[in-house]
Amino acid sequence: MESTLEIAFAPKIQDNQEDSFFSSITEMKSLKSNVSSLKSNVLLSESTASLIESFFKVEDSLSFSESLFNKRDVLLNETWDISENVQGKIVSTNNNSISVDCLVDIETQTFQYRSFPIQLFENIDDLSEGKLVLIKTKMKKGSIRIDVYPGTGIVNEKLFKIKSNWEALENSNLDEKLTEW
Amino acid sequence: MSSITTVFQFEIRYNHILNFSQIARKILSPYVRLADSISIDKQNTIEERIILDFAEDNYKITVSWDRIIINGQGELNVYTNNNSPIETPFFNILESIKKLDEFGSILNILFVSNQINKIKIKENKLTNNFLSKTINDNVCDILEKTTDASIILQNKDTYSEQTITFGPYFGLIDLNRRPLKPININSLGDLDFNGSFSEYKYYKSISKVKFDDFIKIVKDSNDIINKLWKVL
Repeated sequence: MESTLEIAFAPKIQDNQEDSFFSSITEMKSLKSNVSSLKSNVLLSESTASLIESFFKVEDSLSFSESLFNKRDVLLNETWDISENVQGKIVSTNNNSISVDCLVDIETQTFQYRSFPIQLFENIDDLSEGKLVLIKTKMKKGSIRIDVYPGTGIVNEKLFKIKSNWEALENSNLDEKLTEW
Repeated sequence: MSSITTVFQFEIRYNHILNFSQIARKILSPYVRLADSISIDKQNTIEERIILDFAEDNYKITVSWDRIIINGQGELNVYTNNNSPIETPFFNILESIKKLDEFGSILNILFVSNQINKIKIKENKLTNNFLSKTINDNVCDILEKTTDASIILQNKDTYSEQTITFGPYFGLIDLNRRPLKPININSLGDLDFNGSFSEYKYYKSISKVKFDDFIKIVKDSNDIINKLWKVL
């Protein structure tokens, strides 16, 4: 006896969810249309239909994982407790380390003098005193990761131009010799 | 288990910058080296949008002719620390935009966060559990059977609006229904459980915004969400 059989595609995935699961919707749609034409022209036995259905399930999961890995070289699921992007200015350099004035609190203009191994700065050209850098730090229990980037265009140099306490005392007559005791 | 922020969005809107597509790339170029990837929508049109994707850190910054947006996920306190991604580079980019001759003024801000909280309960009892804790019996009986529900609370005045929508959470399928989806769902751990869901929105007309404002918004949001979980 002949009967018409309708094949349902990826039944658990609604149209609005496809975006997040498939990198190539067009690939999915072309598969759909190919079988739609089969549906109208060919009468399939139930076992053949179930075979086709399982084939599409395999295809679906393949394209899903493909799209997942295409987006990144490595799939990273590492989570960090603290993530900071600290603006800094190089204060001094030597053969082993680089010392940086780090702006740890922009609001209160609090700086910290921190030293880093020179290897971290090898990606930066013209490493010299006064060079602006951005130090990206991520931390979690037992682990820290530091990335250093050139700060041009990102670090606001004006934030580092603070009059020192001594400069603020200029012309205040405090350096004049006492004439009376 | 504490609640999970599956996604949040902080948006600062400003007067339209008509020549944004011609000037934006110069401002944003330095930040490209920090981002893992970059994409441009509606390229060379008046509504061009540049998206900096910090995939490793699970956040995205979108800059367009009328707003700057940051989307992130996970523990919100990570974003309220000094030098967090909100302060640098998000507010840094805003400062660069504000320096443009074409920049008018900030108009308003919008903060949205979606949270879920696990409850040890079977799926078929989830909605009834929610209804029994929140809605009058007469309302529960309006339909022969209620399979899902949500409540919206709103606090609105001339300059600001606070909205919280909450209901039962039936696992991942519920997250995909929301307009705002997680940046990287894999890094949030197992989200396929039963529990409660909330979407908090805060909008304010404002002409100046600082990092401290964001910290306050997050604190207020956390207080409200914690209050909500106690009820549910």
